[in-house]
Amino acid sequence: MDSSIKKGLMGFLPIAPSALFFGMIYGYIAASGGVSLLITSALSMFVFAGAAQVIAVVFMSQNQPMIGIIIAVTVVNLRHLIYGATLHDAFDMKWWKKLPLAFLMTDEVFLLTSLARKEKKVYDLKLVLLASGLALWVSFNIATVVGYLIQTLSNQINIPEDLLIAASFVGFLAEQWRKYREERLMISVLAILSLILFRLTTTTNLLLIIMGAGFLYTYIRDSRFMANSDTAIEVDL
Amino acid sequence: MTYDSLTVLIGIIGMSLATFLTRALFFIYPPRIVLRQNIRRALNSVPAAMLVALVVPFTFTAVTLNLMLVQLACVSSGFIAAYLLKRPGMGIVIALLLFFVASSVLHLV
Repeated sequence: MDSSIKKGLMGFLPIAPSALFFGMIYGYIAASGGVSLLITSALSMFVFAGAAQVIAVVFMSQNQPMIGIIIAVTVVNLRHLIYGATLHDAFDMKWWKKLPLAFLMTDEVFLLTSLARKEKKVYDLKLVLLASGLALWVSFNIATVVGYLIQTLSNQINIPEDLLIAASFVGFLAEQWRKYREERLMISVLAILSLILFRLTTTTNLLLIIMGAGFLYTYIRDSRFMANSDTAIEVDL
Repeated sequence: MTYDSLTVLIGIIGMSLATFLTRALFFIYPPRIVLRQNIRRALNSVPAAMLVALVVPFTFTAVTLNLMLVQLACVSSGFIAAYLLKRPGMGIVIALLLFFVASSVLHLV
């Protein structure tokens, strides 16, 4: 098997429990709200954006105006603009060949592709993204149906969803901490900021704030470093 | 739920397009500012920031103090295991293994 495909699939394994669990929870919530299996599955197939889908079925079960639901889904997904901007130069290909990759670029797939990009070994990122994205898409869709069908039994799942999410990603955080020493201070600062803010705002807002803060921190740090480097060169000359 | 079929169809197409556009827009046509070196380096820090936003808050959202402390111990152990063993996948294995042990001993959930 191609090492890039293997990288994508192996990277997906640690997050698979979280994806399956979240897919099942989504299916359960949709069934509880009286949304049909056809609509529930169609959202997983074509929207493929877990948190936004949960919001959509909750609003649909409350008979909210459809235009409002579309706007809410768009706002929740705005963070994907940053993902696209981050990865755009990693894929040297025609724009129309990027379209299927863009469809698959969820939070998890973006993360796995970004991490593969930062490694010393060179991977074909297109294959990493495709492999992890398709694995996630298939798993999430199956989990959606399973969650829908076992709605009445799902209250027996006894792993807190929050722990599952944190546990799914903590290994990758440890990897960042180990490999990139220059990011340790930023990670520490952002962790403290998360602790201060997490009860004051929604998860989506917190994600946007922390990502924005990380971006600004690195931008200011590197701009100062580059300015100092320029000064040093001028003195040497 | 009392939507007619056409409204549902429009809704699904609308949500699909909106989500797809947020993913494809800057992926295909990034704004010129993104091409600057310090901007690109700052964008590279986004994954680590995102990991912090996913791990830290969700560790502390338990409804009871006992459960929160157990979750903190599990996630911290997962972090240490993944760090020491240099295997990201060990994070979730150790964290969930500890949770199963703790929940069966302490009858948490």
